[in-house]
Amino acid sequence: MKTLRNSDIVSEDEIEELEEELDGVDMSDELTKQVLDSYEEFRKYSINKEKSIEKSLEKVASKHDISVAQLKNNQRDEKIEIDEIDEDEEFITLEAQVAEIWEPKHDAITTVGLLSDDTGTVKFISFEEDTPVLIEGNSYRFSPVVTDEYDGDYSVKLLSNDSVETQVEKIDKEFEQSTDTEELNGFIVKLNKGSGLIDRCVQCNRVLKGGQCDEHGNVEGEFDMRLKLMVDNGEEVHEIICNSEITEQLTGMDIETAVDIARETMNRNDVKNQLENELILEHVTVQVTDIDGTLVAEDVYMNTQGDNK
Amino acid sequence: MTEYKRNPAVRVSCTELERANTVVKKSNEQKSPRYLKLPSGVKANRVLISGTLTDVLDVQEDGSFLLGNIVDGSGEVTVSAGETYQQTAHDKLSDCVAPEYVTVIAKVNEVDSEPAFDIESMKIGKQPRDMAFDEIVEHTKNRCDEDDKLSDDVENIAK
Repeated sequence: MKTLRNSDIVSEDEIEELEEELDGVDMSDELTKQVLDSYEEFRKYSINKEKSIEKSLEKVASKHDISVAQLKNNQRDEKIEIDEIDEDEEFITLEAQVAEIWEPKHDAITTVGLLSDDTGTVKFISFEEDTPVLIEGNSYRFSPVVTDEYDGDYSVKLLSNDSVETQVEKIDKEFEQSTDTEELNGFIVKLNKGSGLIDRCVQCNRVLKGGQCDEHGNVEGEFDMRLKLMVDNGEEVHEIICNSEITEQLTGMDIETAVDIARETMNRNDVKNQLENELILEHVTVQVTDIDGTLVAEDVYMNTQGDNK
Repeated sequence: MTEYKRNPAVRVSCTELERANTVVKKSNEQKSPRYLKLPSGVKANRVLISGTLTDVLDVQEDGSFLLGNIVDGSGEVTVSAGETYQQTAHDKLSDCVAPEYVTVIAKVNEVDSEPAFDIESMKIGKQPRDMAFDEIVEHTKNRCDEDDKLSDDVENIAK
């Protein structure tokens, strides 16, 4: 498949090394020749080997108006696990649960969040307008997505263009998140905005703002309970997110009760105020998981009994 | 994620607060946060105080500004709550009938060149106070040098 070239500058050994680097890459002879030529040029101008490979792949891909991933055509057709993601610009197939949907921070981003399987978590992102709706908690098969490495961290990108389209299929699979939990202790000092009774978009689960979903606009909302606790241990203050289950465990208040309270006064804030009244300066121990910078409560217990006098 | 770093409440005994006299400002602006230089070495913008509320004083005689005295066995400290700026705390304090076990988080302020403590949140009850005492003793000893008298004095906190 590849022609070996003899050259004064680039030795045979080096060509072999390059071939090993490109091992598994399925490029046509013509493209391979272009990459090798380009590689030689860069090497002549004192660019180191790794950089020369990177640059020459980019150069040839750009020349043909395709991505490096497409040039490498490095397809892993069998599904891999998240902890097997180890190469940049590679097409892979994943089966994972949508662990979190995040608020996109730029207009260009359609969907962004976190996927998880039995082996780990990975950030996913889509810039395509016609990306299928992904629902937090559901599991999907993504085939393919392209890997992206930045600063040592990997993420995966959903695609929808002329050459590649990510097939997204809902699957019935449960994954065991083997994420480490950390224990935090301290006094609850504040309930942050967004605590209490909230609405979620029935279509994608995003938290509604003023009845509006960032993605779906004016939609029907589903009630949910959430706490954003600030826990202070004397040295640091951490914000910890509690879902409705943990909230009920901590406060005894379930969604129905919260809805009743909000309906009584027609003021949703009364739920947060009541919870704040009960929770401020209660001492708690929380088991948290760090999900991409956000601390999520897995378990919580009060070290002080609420309503003591 | 939080957009700014909230200052943690330094666990501190009344005797240590009695010995702290220097308030420093972060910048020269009027609204700049105040920090109290503690004898044990750290600067605190927020403090956790706990003990027994012994009296509530109505300074302006119209209920708009209340002072509370807290005694913890090692010393005594006065905390305050104004109707305008600390409404929730003010209401809670005005409902209190001393003596009561209280645990307070207060922000450091300066009044007439003296340190003052504005209540930010408070809780009544023995359990928060017991938890607070454990942490106050532990944290104070960690901050102090071993031979510092404060390290012994903090143990006077009543149990």
